[in-house]
Amino acid sequence: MIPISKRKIGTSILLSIITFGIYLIYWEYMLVKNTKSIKKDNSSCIGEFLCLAFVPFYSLYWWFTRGKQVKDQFTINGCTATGNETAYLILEIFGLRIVSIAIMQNDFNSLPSEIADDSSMTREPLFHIAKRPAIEWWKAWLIRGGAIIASLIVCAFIIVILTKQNPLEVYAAMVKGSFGTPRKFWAMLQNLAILLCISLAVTPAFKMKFWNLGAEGQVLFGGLCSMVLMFTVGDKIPNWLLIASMLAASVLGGILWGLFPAVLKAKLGTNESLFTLMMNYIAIQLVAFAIMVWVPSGSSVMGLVNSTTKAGWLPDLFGQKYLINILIVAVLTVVMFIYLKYSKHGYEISVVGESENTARYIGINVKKVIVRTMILSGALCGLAGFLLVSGTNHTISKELAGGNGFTAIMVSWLAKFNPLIMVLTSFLIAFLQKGAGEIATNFKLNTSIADILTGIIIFFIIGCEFFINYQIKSTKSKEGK
Amino acid sequence: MLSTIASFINAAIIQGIPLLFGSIGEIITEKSGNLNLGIPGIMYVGGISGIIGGYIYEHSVEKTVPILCILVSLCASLIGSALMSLIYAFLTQTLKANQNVTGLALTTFGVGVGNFFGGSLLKFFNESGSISLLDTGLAYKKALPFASKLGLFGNTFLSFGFLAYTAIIIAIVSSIILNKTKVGLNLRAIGENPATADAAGINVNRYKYLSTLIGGMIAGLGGLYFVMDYTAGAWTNNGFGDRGWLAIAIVIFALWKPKSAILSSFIFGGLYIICVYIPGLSSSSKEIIKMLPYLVTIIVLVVISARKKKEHQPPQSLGLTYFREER
Amino acid sequence: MGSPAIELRNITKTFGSITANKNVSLTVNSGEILSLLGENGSGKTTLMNMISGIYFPDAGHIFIDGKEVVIRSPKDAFDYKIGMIHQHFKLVDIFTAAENIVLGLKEKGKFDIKDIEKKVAEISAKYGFDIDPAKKIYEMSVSEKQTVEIIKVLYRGANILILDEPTAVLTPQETDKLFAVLRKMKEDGKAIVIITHKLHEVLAISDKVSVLRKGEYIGTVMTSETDESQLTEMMVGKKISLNINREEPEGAQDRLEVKGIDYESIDGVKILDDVSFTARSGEILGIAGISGSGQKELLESIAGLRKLDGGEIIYHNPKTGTSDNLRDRTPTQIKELGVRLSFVPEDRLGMGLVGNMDIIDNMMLRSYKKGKTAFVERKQPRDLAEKIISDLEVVTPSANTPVRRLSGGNIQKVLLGREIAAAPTVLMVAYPVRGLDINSSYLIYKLRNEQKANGVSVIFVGEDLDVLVELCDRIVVLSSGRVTGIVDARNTTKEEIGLLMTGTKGDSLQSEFNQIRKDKKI
Repeated sequence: MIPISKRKIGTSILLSIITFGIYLIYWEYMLVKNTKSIKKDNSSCIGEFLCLAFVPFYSLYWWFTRGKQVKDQFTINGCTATGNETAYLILEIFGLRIVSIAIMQNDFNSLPSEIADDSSMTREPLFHIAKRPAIEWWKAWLIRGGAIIASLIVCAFIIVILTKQNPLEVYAAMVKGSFGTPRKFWAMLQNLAILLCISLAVTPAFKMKFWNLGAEGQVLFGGLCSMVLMFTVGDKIPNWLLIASMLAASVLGGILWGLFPAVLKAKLGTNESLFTLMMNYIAIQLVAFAIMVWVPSGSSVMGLVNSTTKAGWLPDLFGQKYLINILIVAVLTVVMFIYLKYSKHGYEISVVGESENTARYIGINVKKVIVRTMILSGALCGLAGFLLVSGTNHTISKELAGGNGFTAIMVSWLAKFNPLIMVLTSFLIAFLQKGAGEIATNFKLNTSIADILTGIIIFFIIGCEFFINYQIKSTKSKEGK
Repeated sequence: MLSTIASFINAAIIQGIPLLFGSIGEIITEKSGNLNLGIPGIMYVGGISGIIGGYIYEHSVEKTVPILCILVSLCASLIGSALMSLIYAFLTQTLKANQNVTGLALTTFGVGVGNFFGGSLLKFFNESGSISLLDTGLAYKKALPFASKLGLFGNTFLSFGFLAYTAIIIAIVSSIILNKTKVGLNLRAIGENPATADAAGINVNRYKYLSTLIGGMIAGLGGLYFVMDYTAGAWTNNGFGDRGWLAIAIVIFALWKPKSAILSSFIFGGLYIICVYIPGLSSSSKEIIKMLPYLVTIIVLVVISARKKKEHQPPQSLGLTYFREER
Repeated sequence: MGSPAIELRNITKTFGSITANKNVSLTVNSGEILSLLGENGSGKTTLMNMISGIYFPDAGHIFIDGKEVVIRSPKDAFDYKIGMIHQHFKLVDIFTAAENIVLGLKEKGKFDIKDIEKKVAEISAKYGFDIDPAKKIYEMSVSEKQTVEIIKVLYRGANILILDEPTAVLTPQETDKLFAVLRKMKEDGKAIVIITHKLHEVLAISDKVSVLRKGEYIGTVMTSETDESQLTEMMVGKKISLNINREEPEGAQDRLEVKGIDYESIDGVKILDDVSFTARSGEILGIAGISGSGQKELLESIAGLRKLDGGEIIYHNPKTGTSDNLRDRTPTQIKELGVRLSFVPEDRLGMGLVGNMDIIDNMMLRSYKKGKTAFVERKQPRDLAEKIISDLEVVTPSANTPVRRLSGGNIQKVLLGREIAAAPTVLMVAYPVRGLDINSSYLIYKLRNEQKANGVSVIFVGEDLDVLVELCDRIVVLSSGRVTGIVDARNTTKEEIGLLMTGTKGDSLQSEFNQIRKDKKI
């Protein structure tokens, strides 16, 4: 048996074109290997291949002699080769090496399977992927850190291509975007707070393996509930009562929006991710409806509400507009951390998320936990809506949540559901968005660059989990060949 | 009255075509067990890549040739959405990342790419104004030559650009491939039970990669249709809106059947714009009407989960990562 | 008798520290039916999985028709015309029979389902199957599904058929039908291997019998030259003394009374059928039976995890002297009744413990509800974890290590330790030493004896008959969800239990009638 690599010629040519020739190099290398194996020569062919690639005019000699050798070997084995050394030589002179390669491959393909054994070449995978039993925590964080650095390099690369600036300057601009002036810093903190708040909201549900993709809608509907009160009874009741009832309304609204899918999931097993996704758009349309009703001009943009009386606006604290928001979320972060880690509910959430069987075994009512946790999740989303309406925007629009409902899912996932680490991951995203915004204004680009960068960084971080959970083993060494 | 209905049907179909591309792409992807929530992003990229290709072509020649306008932008669009799908396939298949998170990140990324290049393309070429590819748009919009001669019928059903017919053909062809061929059988088996398919000697990884790739490319055409035909070669940021998510909703509504997706898309397209055609609606009630497609989807979702009819369920392994050694 | 169709020489396979097969050699000729006999965990399925390409052997050679071959994947196995019918069917539920049969085939030509259905009908006619090719799998009964699996391998032209416990899911009538088909295939020159542990079936169908015990090859005998007692001895081996003292139970009182309980699975299959027994304090009650005879469901019913269709479970509370019916109560309600019930389930990481949580948090599974505050208390669980680690010599870096990272024996120690720490009055353990090395096993036996001495009523589901006979006071034998006997462990032999397990002794007629599909984990 002679180990010969066989491959389909059409596919190979196509692959060579698609990969801009990279596959061709591999193909040619395997072919050189074939010409050696057919002579029953098992020595390495790397030298020969490199000569062929880099030594001028050697290729003419190679194709002529090897063409002849292959032909002779075929005859010895009782087969005929269509390729001919003169033809190879002429093709090589005219630079049509790919045709020669195809012809020679065709010859090798025609070898009957009794002579040429293809199996050792194609069937055995080079690598074998296995689950890693365990990895030290510092190694895992090293991998994650490496992924973030790699992603930042890629991001820098892209920005440099687009702006043609020194990458260091670009990064400096990004830092300036978040920390340049106190105003920018507070704005960044405010973004961070809202993103973190929604991330905290989705976390308990995710920990339970309930895919709530409807945070966007829960925030929006919560915000809408606040706005209804702010708009209709804004000047009729004392401000403290207004704010308190807005808060309550938002929370209840968020709960309502989360409760539908949760109950149906618990009762009927309805797919929660698609359900919550659709709920987003119902909330969006409700907001659009409300705006149409409230804004007499028929414009789809609602101006500041109660801009003179400031009724329903969260007050400034120490002269800082967003400080209350930030403080609330900061407290919430700690509370959520404690809730998940030290409370009985948090413990039940972990058990249900890890194994519903175990949960039933120790007497946890799984349905109850699902509904209860989604109530919490919805309530916090509603709170975020309240903070946005009452504490930040003082108006409402369809873009109130601004995609943060989806970004929050990634923030929570990246932080491995740990609220304290979420501070870091949401900082990373908020910093990136503000920084990218700064680049966009400085270099007159579109602000959506922030989304591109966010996407890239997330790709890298979720991709690197593979190297934490799995290991790549070489098949060869395992089987001792 | 008749002409209003005819123009409504016509508009519903026009609205439905991008949704049809998107939902067919997603059906093909989901049949392999991959829940690609990146489809909205892929559709944005499909649109913007077409725009970029068309723009570069229109700016590099003196006089444009319609067929080349189409070819260049079409290839650019396909390459763009193929690259996006490859990101998804690589992350979820090779690196076994979570499908939901990957999909959402892909949508963020794709919408970002669309809006970024949509907003900055002219600046790269030191121009100002907004993108408008008149020649390419015209080439795409060219209706069947005899359509206008057929009166109302022709104007209602035959007045579309070639991509609209392509969408319907793709839907029918994918229905045939999925239901009548061995490739389709293998693909469906993978979506249902990858371990069984693996044991039967099917290359699970290759099928999953290819279906994600092909599905993504088809979905990308939806974006292309929108920017080239619907808006006639003009790009507005976020103009495509939430149609990508609507396409995913249609997949559920059509119960994962490409043929039903045709009609479903037109129904959803109709619901999307029906508010314009109902006389006497206030602008606020229009917004309520626009809620219909989503409400209907939720109802379908609840009903199928309550009825538990096997044929109407999502592919069983949808959203799960397959790893042979874990069986 | 034909030439050797398949030959295995010195096959060895290990999984981590466990040796599943050690130097196994056997031969099957074409036109012959071989029974591969052995207890649960003796390595029968592992061995056959190596022929069908699921596993790759660590050492040894496989010969097909006299030529050495390498089988790397199920596809390779198909190419060598080997077909295996797994115990857990590999079928796509929403496909029709015909679609499942051609799945993954790479033959050229048009895909014409009518044509395929015709071919399937031909095969069915040839061997006497009764199947509708256009029927969906989820509408089929278990035996129909099995038929589809068999046709699937025949359609691929298999000459060597391996059936893993084919009769485990069949009624006696269906079994007869299957055997008739197998005989026809044998006449057709096919080589057939049946994995089983039912002796009467071995005698009924096979030409020769190869026996495995604990992964080792014991021997091969011709069916015509053997009988049940010889096979039993080969299967269970010579009497091994465990040297564990067995005290006479003192002051035994009735603790848990199971009265005629019935349980049906969702698909309407009877899994527990009129099961009755009494567990007493201070004694170990063994439960023997082929795996899937209803043991799991029985324990889970007592623990409040399954809704019974009939019968009662009465608990006699030694503290209050009251008796309560535990049926239809949730685990929490049972606990609130003051019943101190501990349960070590078969699936340690899937049910008893949470793999990704550390030892301390796993201790909390039982105790986290204690205390009036909304917060969990980690001080006691930590102390308990430390105590279990030192008392039971659990090998772990620390109490903060996720249990998933521990070895099987250590996981079991953590689980058993936790359950015992709850000071139970009834302790249920299922397969406590499965996958454990000798030393861990002994420790676990010792622990159980200690519990017995403390007056706990221990219910012990086991698979090793040696251990059951040596350790228990009484043994309940289950066969297909029915109690076929309750024997005094001091005056019994494992042969007697083995016969009860397979339903060949006692009211065997009755039991065969009731031998309706048991475990439907298809």
